[in-house]
Amino acid sequence: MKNGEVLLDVKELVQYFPIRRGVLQKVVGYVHAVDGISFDIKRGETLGLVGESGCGKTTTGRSILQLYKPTSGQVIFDGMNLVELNGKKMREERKKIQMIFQDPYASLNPRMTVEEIVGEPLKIHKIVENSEIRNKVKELLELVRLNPAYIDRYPHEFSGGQRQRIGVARALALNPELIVCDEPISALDVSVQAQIVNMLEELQSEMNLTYLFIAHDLSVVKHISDRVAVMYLGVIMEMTSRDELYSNPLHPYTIALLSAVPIPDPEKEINRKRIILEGDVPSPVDPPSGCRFRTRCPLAQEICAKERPEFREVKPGHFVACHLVREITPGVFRAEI
Amino acid sequence: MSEVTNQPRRKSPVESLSQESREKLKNLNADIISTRKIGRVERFFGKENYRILKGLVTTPTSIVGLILIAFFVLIALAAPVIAPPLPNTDPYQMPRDGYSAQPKPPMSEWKSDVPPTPGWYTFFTGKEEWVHLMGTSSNAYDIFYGVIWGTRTALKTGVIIEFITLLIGILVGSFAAYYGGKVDNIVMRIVDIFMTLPFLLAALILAAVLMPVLGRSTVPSVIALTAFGWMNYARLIRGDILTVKERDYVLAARVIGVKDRNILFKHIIPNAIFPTLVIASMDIGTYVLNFAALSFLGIGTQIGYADWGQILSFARDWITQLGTYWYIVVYPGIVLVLFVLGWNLVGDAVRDVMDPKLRKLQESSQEG
Repeated sequence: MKNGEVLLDVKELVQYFPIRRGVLQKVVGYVHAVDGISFDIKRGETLGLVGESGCGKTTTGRSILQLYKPTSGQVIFDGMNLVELNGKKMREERKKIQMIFQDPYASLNPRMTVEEIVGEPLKIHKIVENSEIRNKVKELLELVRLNPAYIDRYPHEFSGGQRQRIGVARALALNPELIVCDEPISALDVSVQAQIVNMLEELQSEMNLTYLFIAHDLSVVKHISDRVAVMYLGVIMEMTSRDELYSNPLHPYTIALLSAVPIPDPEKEINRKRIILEGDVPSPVDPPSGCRFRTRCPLAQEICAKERPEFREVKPGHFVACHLVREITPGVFRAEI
Repeated sequence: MSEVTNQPRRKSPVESLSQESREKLKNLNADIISTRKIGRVERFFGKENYRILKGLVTTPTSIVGLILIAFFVLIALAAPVIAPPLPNTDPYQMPRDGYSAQPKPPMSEWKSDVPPTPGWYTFFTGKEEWVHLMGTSSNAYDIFYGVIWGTRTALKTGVIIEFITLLIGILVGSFAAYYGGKVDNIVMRIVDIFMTLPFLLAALILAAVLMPVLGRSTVPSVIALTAFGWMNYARLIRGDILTVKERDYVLAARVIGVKDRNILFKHIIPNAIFPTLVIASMDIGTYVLNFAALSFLGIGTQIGYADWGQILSFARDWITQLGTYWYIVVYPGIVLVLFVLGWNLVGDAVRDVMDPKLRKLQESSQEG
């Protein structure tokens, strides 16, 4: 159980959702929410998963947790393929993988007190004696910097940030190894965002947690992640270490995304070049052939429509899915646009 | 020191504000306080349900409705005091004053089989002899007893019918919503088929078929009204469960590892059941009305059973002379109307409170 070994290995994960129409509920098509993605997360690290809304980030997180049954692919957690586990074994395994939800107003049952919410996982997995649950919940509340005196309150008596802390306490109750953070701060005020992110970082080092951090805010991801994966329309486009991604992005999509991040320096902000992508994200019901990004890529060529680019390791630890990456160097690419 | 006290009192910062901004400040303060203080009742029911309950006890129409309902409940509870029955007889059987077919007007003298005179009557009038307060119907049944004990019948049957219909509706609706897919489709189509049947006619036929089998009592009508009354609740709870099912806290429960059945009973149903419960409890009036309708048509209880519908049906024999025998129709008619009105007033208030479109209006009017 050393840090650095692979904790979660996702292989060719595919998640389609059928679209049903008519009285007989015939399947008329599929939403290609996640279309063959592979990545791994090492113990103790944070993998940031970024992308526009609707690109399949959340679905990826939920498929890993088996909240949706994956269409195909493997999710290997700690040497075990979660996709193949039956209900009972999966429930056992859930102790080790937990989740923090995006909307703190929706993720807490309004009819349960904090004690019931945070204590529920303890009760179900019989982590502590029933008489000890209250004390344990108080401990957990202190851990997330909440006043334990609030233990008998209901969720609607808290602010957004406080609720998110309750959500974190619930996730921590089982002492998990991996936590999938599904945009845990995007529903919060900017001032509160920083508090929650810092708390998550502190908890990570205190409890040796591994995070899959899903977000659409590139600055936050830059702050918290060790490695970053960029997703577009159900596919990972580029994945590498944080510093490499932000200093030396290779995929045209990543470059365009990064050029949209505001720089808090007016002079630089005026002088830099922005890459404006044309059009909208295509529908995941009928995604473009070949490379998913080709319809909006300023460099798209014939091959991009014909073949789906392989997710290749072009440098040690730097994976890119683009036909043109061999030919373009970042400097040249920028000059061309 | 004395100088300070002699000085004219300084205006507080609030007082120097204009009337308008002072109002605003007051509202602001009220807002802060109300978010901090949350009563035990609100905590127990949750914010949304508390709002509905609060709407119920603050809307004027609903208050009138609640008073009417409380009035009838009191009458039902106090029935043995208000109209004491003859000893060793079934109190639900209207006492008869002989066998005369001719109805007697209100306040006429009671001749044979006189039940004990209630204390309140002696207290108010000073008389020892009991009279027919509301007259008698044909065959000399006392209308006053029928009205008073009929309140018990009405409340009892109303509550029983409501309870069973609700139970069936909730079971069917949750079953359909929980399993979803084909099961849902099939079950809800069955519900649709039931809903196409005209309610009272279907109930009438079923009750008429059941009556020879089960004998004359309240049971056939109760069964018939239940059999065709549950569909609305099934639909309601199904819809609410489908919404709640997609909430994040249900996902969160799955992430924790809660078993499916416990998710349904602990996380989904408690959050979905309240609107159905409230709507259903307000339907009691309708069921009592329908029960009375069946009785009026001669289906249900045995002759002479204290039941508003049946007293009304006695009036049928005198339909050409109702100018003379008005009391057979008017007294049971009035109680039936008031009873149903009470439930309907509360029901209307509930619907208004639960209507999200009206909510904003209501909230802004409360603030202003």
